[in-house]
Amino acid sequence: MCAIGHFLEEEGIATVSISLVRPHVEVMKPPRSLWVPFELGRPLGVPCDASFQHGVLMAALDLLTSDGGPVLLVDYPKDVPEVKIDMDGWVCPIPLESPSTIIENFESFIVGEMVSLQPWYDLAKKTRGRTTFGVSGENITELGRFVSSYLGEEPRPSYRSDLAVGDAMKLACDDIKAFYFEVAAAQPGSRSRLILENWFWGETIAGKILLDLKVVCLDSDDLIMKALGNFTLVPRSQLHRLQSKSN
Amino acid sequence: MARIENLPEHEQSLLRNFAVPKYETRPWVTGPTLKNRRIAIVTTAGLHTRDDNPFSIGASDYRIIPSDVKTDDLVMSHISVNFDRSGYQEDLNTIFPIDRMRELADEGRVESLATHHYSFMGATNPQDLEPNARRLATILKADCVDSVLLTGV
Repeated sequence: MCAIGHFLEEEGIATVSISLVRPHVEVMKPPRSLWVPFELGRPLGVPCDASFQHGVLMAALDLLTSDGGPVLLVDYPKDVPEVKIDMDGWVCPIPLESPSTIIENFESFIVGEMVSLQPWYDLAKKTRGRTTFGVSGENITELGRFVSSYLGEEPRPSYRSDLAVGDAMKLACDDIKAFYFEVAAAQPGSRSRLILENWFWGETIAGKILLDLKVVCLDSDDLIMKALGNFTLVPRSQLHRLQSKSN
Repeated sequence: MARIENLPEHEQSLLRNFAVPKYETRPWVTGPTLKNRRIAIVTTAGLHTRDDNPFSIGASDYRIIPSDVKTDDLVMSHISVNFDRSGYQEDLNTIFPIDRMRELADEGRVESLATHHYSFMGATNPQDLEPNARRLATILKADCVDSVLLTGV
């Protein structure tokens, strides 16, 4: 983002960035940056809080007319309001099969889990008026069948003729995670990213299959699948689950 | 929190050691007051409309987001899994403040919004973004855009 600001400004367009990683701004020195002390992935700070978002936005836009260049880095003075979160963890009220007991028939278990969660996904979509599921263009149970087939003897081909299997796998995994995270959001109460991730990766069959899939991807001769396994399937916060499996 | 000292040690190390370029020039463009500016949002969140091509590993191109896009029409194919997506799932404005910018335009606090906004995918070598970023500047100027708000994840 800093690089784009630099290039656009060189071409004659004024830029201001809302930045989350201060050390990168300090090195790249784009023209104008508002550093915000928020969680990675939340540059505007608080979802569904127009007032808070306006505050951040105006602090950034005001830099467009500020003196102090050619490098202006300002720290946003407010943090996000504290939200009461149960840090002891969160138990999803939806009864799910324990993933630790599943060693075969992955397709049938993941599809069953997805079907049981579908009403909660529908509720979340209706409540929010939107969904972030759908980047793959395939429905959730077909995605479950697709990813689980890679743990068996007959991996399915790409479900999209315009995408290599590795790219299709990436989008399938993104959509599965979006579906499950939106299901979790339909439950009452607030919870942190880590609690949601611990639920998905530790307590769902889909999470178990994606963890196993990482190992399959790492062993693959397909470069995209290998890159998926190396970098873009399991978040670093959950890699310990693979280490504990191998011990 | 993105205060780097609050992140787990391995996250801190990766962010601190990430190779970012240094630039020799210090461009600084001045312009009119905010209420006379035409503004585009350019994000590196890997957003695109549902019918557009998803981003893939190493992608350095951008996607066009119409200014009148409905929030349900945007999805994300960013390759990184190491940032929060639940805020975006709850409210697109958490990463792409389109509704907030529309409000500012309606209130006359900025002159107008661009015909299109744009998204790159940030997990790419910054130098690889240069050709498309420079081409984008030409397109923005043709749309009379004088200012850009950049958001990343």
